[in-house]
This record gives sequence, structure tokens and C-alpha cells, in this order.
Amino acid sequence: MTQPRVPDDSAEMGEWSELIAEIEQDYPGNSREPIRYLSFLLESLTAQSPERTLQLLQKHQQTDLRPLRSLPALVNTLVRQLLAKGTPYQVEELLVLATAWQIPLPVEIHIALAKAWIQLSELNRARTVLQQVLSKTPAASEALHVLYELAMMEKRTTEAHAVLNQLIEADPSLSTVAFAYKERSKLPSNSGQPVRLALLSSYVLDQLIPYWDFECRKVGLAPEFYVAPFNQYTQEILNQNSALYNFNPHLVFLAISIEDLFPEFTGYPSSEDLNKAKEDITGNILHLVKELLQRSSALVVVSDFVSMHHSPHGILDNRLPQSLLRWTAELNKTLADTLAAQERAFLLPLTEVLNWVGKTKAKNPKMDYMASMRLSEAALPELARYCMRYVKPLKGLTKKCLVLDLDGTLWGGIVGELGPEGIHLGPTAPGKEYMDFQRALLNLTRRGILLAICSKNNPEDVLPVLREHKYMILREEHFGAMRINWRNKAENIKEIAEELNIGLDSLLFIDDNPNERELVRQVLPEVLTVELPRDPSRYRMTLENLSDFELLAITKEDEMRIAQYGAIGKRHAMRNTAASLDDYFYSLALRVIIEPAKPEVLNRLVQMFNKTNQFNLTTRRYQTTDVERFLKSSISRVYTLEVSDRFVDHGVVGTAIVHVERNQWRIDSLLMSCRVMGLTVEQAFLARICEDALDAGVTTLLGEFIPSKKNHPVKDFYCQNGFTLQSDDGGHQIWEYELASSKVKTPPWITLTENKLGHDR
Amino acid sequence: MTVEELVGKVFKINPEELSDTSSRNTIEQWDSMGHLALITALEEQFQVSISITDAMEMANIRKIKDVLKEYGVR
Repeated sequence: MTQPRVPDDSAEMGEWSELIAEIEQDYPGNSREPIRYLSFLLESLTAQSPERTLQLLQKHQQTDLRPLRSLPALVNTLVRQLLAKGTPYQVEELLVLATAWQIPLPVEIHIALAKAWIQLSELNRARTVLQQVLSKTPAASEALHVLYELAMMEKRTTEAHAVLNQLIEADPSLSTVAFAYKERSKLPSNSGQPVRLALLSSYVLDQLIPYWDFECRKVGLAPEFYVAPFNQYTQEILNQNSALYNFNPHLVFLAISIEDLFPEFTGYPSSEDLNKAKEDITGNILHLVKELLQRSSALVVVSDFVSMHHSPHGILDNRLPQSLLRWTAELNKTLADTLAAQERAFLLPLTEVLNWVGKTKAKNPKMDYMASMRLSEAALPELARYCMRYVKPLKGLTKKCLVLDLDGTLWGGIVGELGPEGIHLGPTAPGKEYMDFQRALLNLTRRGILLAICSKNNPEDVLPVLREHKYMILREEHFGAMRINWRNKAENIKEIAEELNIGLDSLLFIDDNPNERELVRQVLPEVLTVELPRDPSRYRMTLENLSDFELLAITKEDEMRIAQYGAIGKRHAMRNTAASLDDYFYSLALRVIIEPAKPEVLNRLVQMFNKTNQFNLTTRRYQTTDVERFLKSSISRVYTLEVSDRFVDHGVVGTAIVHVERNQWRIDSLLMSCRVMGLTVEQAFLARICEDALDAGVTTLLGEFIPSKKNHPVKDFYCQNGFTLQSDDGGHQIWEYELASSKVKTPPWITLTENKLGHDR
Repeated sequence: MTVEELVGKVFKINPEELSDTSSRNTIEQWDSMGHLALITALEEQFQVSISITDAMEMANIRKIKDVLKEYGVR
């Protein structure tokens, strides 16, 4: 680099020379640093001639300019200058330097560069710039807009459609969705499967169409829409020659709002009004649906009725014969029953859809008053997605098989490293979220969806989990195909499709590893690869939000499969109608395992010692080393309590530490999770300790109690069980119990069982 | 975000092309549906709830700014 000229004559500094001289007194030599002077020179030069600055920087690019702290600012100024005065070639040369110096430049610079290329008709260069931006910031709306214009210029229809989809993903507002919808009307249709969708409504629901269009495009459909004129659904349906029938729809969505059929609904209707209205409305809808079914081959989807106001009866609503909430629910039930008798008519649970959105968010009163728009911008995308649950099976887009990864997907952690005991899967978190995800997957199999495994693992590590892990909900028999090996997942998935004799486009792939997902997306675009969230507690929700598993009817085969699982369903559906408390406890079918603690529950024990507050007699916060010591000690006994009932396996929920002292045993700690409080299992726990002490020939059992801010629910625990207070120094009580007269018993409704952990040994 | 930027975003036009006199007559996309989308966007951006009479007044950018001022938007 040319050695910058260091000023030796302070006159050059003009009017600031005195000030500079003063500063130099405090910081001698600072102004002699060439780096500051260089910075000054470069700034001046940039303002004068950005091209020359670029030239110099390029010439000296090997020079280490890192000490020049103003370099990022300088590059930013320079790039803007070049955009204004220079050529895109020069801008791009500067970007190369900026990348080498690791100086980030804002997205708008790149977009301005792309636009400059477009002006020079250098479309490929423009595309490259935009794609680089999007690879770093996929949601850069501006870049997508320019990319869209580019695709239009080059008449690349497929790409234009795809970019519009990306644009909506980046900003799903009504204005973007509407923009995309309008643009598509100018584009030649994409090559997707056509589907004709008709919308009939008693209120303005036109804004649903752009969202619905987007949902269709995403799955490769080429939709056409027909929207009947405002509030003319009856005429359209009853007139044989209406535009509706000329359109020849595959699906008709009939959305009628209750206040349009029954205006008194928003007032104070009497029981008589309600009874009459219910009959009228049901009759009216059934009549319309039958006409529709007769005159067209379309699938008819009717939305149910939603009450968007509070009941005029307030909290008394459900006590009154004219209850509006109950009436609405009954009306919907009657309607569901009526439509269920028609093969091609379905009731869309709009109430449920809006509950998911939140009613407060789902309505926008202003839009309703101004434009008869009953549903807000927040409700429309959710409704459009729900509509797809009918469109997809209609167009044969229902997925038949779910291909699942194992580690990190069906359970937490890597089984090959942690072993079956170490993975997160069980009734306490972390582990509970995976069990729940598995439950949702099992539910899908009952609907006739197949499951398959595709996992990079050693079979000998995985099979014991599938066969014996206590908390696996999905077992080997639930999987139609398994590929547990170290090969490429795309190859494995292809084999699974062949083995099950279904098309790749019937498969859905779920994997927590983004790299595997990307690979499958690229190699097998026909397979639907689900974007799984990083947080496993969102897995179940993500799965259930998919609209790819819907059936329009249940076939004979499905019914047989469902029958096999029926027994389990019945057990869960059994409602508890116990007459007395004892009956209630019996009906719970409580099963309890009390045993000396095993080393593998160490972490759970430490967790309980440090988390349990309410049912904790001494609140001693033992750490891992403490608990390990007790486990090894010959004068201490550590117990664990495991509880399951008719509905849930709670797992290890309690522990006790007992110290063995000559003729007496002392209960150092006794605690239990609040999840099982009130189930009387603590009686069984204490009874077992008494029995063991008696068997050991001990006469006296001591119980300690240390009051805390939170453990008052158990302050009378020893008293209630016949212990007598031996000493109390205010903060520490010792209770005493003569074992010879022991009356502590396991309640008769509790079944004590042995542990038969499959993965035990 | 300025009113111009927001109007530009809603109607997909360059904010630099907008002025106080840009109105429903000069912007093609600003039809009745577009107007509703604009009101919704304004309410969300500036965290206000605009009355229907005010919403109907907002026929050009100057009027939008005037009304927003009355709602305490600076």
C-alpha cells in the first residue's frame, strides 16, 4: 500500500489545527497514527470518486485493513455511491471485497443491485443476486417481489407460481394473499390437477378465496373458484340454470351465519321462538342440501352455526330453558345428524375452527358492520386450511403412510449412546411429550394410516426399545415397514414405498434432523416432508394440524382395523359414576409398586427431592452425591413408589429414605408428587415401611416432620396414622410409632404389584 | 413505518411514488376491498381502532394522516 502522507505541517488542518494540537498534548502521537489519516483520506476520496476508491481497495486487497475500524461504514457508503453513480459490475466487485472482509451489507443493497442488473437486461445476474439473498433470508419479501417480476419477464410460469407461494409464506397478510391471487389470474395456469370450488354464503366471505387458492397451490392443485353473488345462495341452489351449476363444481361450501337465518338470535328469543327456529333452520338447510346433491355431483360442505355474541342471559344461560348456548349446540347436533344421512354432505365445524383461532380474534366487528364480513383476517387462513381437509381426500391427496425417524422424533436422545434406560420417554417430562406424540400417531393408525420406521441406528439398539420399553406406545406390530440401518434415507424411503406397494406421493416423512429433511425434500420431492419444530412439545400439535389424513368415509377394512382397537377405546371412554368415595377409589383400579430404589432411577429421585414441595415431610433437598450415598449405604434404605391407574401410568412418583438405627427405624424423608395426592397411595407406602420394619424385628418407627411454607397439606400425616409426638422444637418434629400395635394398612382398593419392567434385565 | 410505506406495502407500490394527494382515484388497487385491507393494516400498524365514519373519510394519504393524528398517532 502507498504509505499515506502524514501531515507534518499543521497548517494543512486549517482551522482545527489548534484544537488538534491541544488533543495531541493529552494523547501524544495519536495523530501520527497513519491509520486514522488513511481513514480520513478514504472517506474524502469516496465522496469525490467512488470508482477510484474501489480501484485502490482492489489493488491493495492483500493489505490487512482490519485496524481500520471505519471500514464497514466506508464500504456501506461506497456501495451506495456506486449504486448511484457507478455500474453494477463495480458494485459486485465491491461485494466480493466485502465478503472477504466479512462485512455484512443490508438486504436492500442486494435488491438494488438486482434491479440495476435488470435495467441492463442482465437477468441471470439479477437472479443470482436474489437467490443469494434468499438463501440467507428466505423471508425477504422485497427480494421475492423482484424475483417474481423477473419470472414474469422471462415467462417462467411454474417459477412465478412458486415465488408467489414463497411470498405468502413470508408475509401471510390479506394484502399479500390478495396480490398473489390477482397476479395468478394473469399467469397461465400451472400444470396441476384442476379443482372447481364454489362458495355460497349469507355474508361476505370473498376474502377466503385467496387463502383457499394458496392452500390449493401449495399441494399442486390448479383451483378455479366460483363465488355466488352476495346472499343469493338460495336462488343459486334452486335455479337449475344458475351460474353455480354451469360452473360444475367439485365442491360447494355453503356458509350461512345464524343471524341471517334467525335475526332474533342476537336479541332475546323465547323458548317458543327457539323451538320453531330450530325446526325451520334444519328443514331449510336440509332442503337446500338435497337440491344441491340432486343437481350436481359436488361434495357439499356446510359450516355449522357459531354464536359470536355473549348470551343475553349471562351466567344463568345454561340454567334456562331458552339457553342460547345450548340451543346453538343442539342445532348443530341436529344438523350433523341430518347431514350424516347424506353420503356427500358434511358439516364443517366452524365453531371448532374459530375456537382454535380464538373468537375475539376471529371476528372484526368493524368489517362486519362496514362490509358484512363476519370473519376476520385472522380466521380466514385457518378456515382455508380446514377446507383443505375436504378437498384433499376428494382429490385423492390423502397420505397413506407416515415414515418416522426414531431418535429425537419418537423419543428424546440417541438410543445407541444412552441405551433404552437413558432415552427420554416416560410419564414425566422430558419424555411425556414424546409419549403424547406417539399416542397421536397411534390414533392415526386407527384411521387406517400406516406407519413405517426409517432410522439411522443399529437394529440391536432399537429393537429392545420397540419390544420391551415400558413407555413405548408404538410397538413393532404398529409398523408396516422398518428400515433401521446406516444407509441414505431417500433410498430407504423408496424401498418402504415399494414394500408397502404405495406411491411415493402417498408418503409423509417426519424427522427431527433438518439435514435429513432437506435431503429427502431434494431427492424425493413427491414425498411430503413435514417441517418439524425444534421443540418436541410442539410435535403432537404439528401432526394434528396437518390436513393430509382425512377420509370421506370409512371402508370395511378400516372398520376391521378399528374393531381391533375398539376394546382399548371402550376402556378409556368408561365414565366414572361412583356413588361413594370408596367406589371412586375402586373404580380407579390403582396399582402400586413399592420397592428398594434401583440405580437407574437416580436422576428421577434427585429431581423429586428438589422439586417436590407439598407432599414432602422434611423438604431435604438431596443432590446426586447424597442420594448415591444413601443407595450404597447399609444403614439406609431408599424406597420408590410407582403408581398407575385405569387411565395413566404415572411412573415413579414418590420416594422415602429410612435410616436403620438399632431398635428403631427413622423416616428421614418421605415425599410424593402432587399428581398422585388424594389417591390414598401414601397409605400403601407407609404400610410397606411398617411391614419391612416389623420383618426386620424393629419395635419403633420414628417419623420426622419439618414444616415449610408449602407442606402444610401433610402436617397431620403422622398424627392421622397413629404416631405420637415425641419432641417438637418448633422447626423439627419427631413422631413415634409402636410397630407391635401397627394398624397402618394398604387400602383394599390398591393392588400391590411387582415391577416387571420389560427393560429391566 | 410511515403512512406512505404502509400504503405502499398494502397496494404493492413503491412508497416513493406516493404523495399526500395519492388517493382512491390515483391508485388502481385502492378499491373497496383494498380500502378494508388498508384500514386493517393501519389499525394493526398503529395500534388504534378507527371508527367507521373516520375510515370512510380516509380517501387519500393526507386524510389518513389527519385522522391518525386525531387518534394520537405521531
